[in-house]
Amino acid sequence: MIEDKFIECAKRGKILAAKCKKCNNTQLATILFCLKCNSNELEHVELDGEGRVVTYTILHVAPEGYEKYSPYAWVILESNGLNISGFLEGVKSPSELPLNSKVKIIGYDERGIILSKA
Amino acid sequence: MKKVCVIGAGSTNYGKAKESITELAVNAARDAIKSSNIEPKEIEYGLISNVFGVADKQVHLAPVIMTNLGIPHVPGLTIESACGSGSIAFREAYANVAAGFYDVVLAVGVEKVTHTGTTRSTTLFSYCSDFFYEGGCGVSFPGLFASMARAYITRYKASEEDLAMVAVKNHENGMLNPKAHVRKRISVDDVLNSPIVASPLKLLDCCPFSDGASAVIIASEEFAKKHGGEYIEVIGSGRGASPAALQNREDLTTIPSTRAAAMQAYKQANLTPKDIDFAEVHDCFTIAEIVDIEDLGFFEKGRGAAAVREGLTQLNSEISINPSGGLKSKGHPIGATGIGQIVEIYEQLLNKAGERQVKDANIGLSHNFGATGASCAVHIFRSV
Repeated sequence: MIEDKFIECAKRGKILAAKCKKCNNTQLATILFCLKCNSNELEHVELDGEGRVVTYTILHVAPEGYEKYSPYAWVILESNGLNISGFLEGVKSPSELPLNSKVKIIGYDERGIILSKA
Repeated sequence: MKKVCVIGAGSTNYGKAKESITELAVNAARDAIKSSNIEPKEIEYGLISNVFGVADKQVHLAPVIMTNLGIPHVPGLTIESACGSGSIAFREAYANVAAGFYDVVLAVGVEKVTHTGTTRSTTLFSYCSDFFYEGGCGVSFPGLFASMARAYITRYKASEEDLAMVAVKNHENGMLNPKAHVRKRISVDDVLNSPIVASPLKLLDCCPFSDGASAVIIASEEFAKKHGGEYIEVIGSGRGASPAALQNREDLTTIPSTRAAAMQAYKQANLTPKDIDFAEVHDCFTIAEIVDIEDLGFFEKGRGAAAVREGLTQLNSEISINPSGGLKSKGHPIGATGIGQIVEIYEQLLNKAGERQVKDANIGLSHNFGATGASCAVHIFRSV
């Protein structure tokens, strides 16, 4: 399963991306056809998991399984021209996480893709 | 394509229901049938919109509802498109009648979730996201819209007060709607001082979890004319889609599916946004209404917050947005919401909306989407 490969990369702090052999577009590997030219001739590439905060929220009312971590942040970050989102523990107030600040992927566990401040 | 009309409409109260999911749906359908003055046996097809039937131990709702309406031999179909299920079921009903497959179709939306509690409901709703990246990384729907809100506020220099004003306005309208879930007048300070759910959104920026059902009877114009009685005409119908995950959108301050669906509906109706007298829009969170009124073309990009601040979206102002109270005050029984908006439009265009009546209402628009706008339908109606 592609998600398993993706998770294995996230655990090493990397993003599993897919590069289109026809048009060179790079996208997340979980999307199986090229978003630009629709080709499915894609090759996997591992990208560095460091990026900058695009937007985020701090959750105070958590879904099941996350109650004990709240408040925590869910962040969309931009890395190597791609956007990806994940879970960031230990952020209690917006002043602690300005937009455009550096974050990185550090793992994957039952909380999903795990980020930390970089 | 045949011309299509709405010949009847009915809704239960929205709120916390004691009835089962099936009873809610049947009650709304019964009221719609009664208002249309047809007999159930004249219905040829049923479209049921619902998301979490499983929470009330009933999926495959269509045959159960049709049986309880005394028409077990009439085929039905249950449609799930998250919070957009209602308008998308309506669209399929519209398409079936326009194409000539059927002359009379029942569309009924229903949801029952409040008995599961806030944490369970928050979790169930998170299954409507692109779960691997969103729900599965700890974000709730308030959190997803909060992320859009932070992007919007930053780019357009809007404020949390502007968001709060959407809630204040919709609660004001909801005070005039006897079927609304939250009939409570609130102030900007009440919103700002309510507990944080997912920053920057507070509790009063969020619509409630609601139970309820709404139903409409859709018919060909031929049938409507022959049958007699009151009806409104569907003059535009559009569908749109967006990348399921927020992270895969180029711009987090707009919802592409709304723009696509609206463009199709305006084109078909041969109208522009200026021609719309009032609109029921998808205000699951205050930020959503601001984004919606821009994406629907009522205000320029980035002007939505100012329009709300200036009172341009209040009842009987420049354009009446959510005269029913919207999802925010009327409530959001997710499978029913999109049909409920059309019930409101039916009542408004037939001058039956009581104290919340939009003056000289001739053209109404409904806008309803699923999740963060991954799927959307827009419809335009006129009085005849």
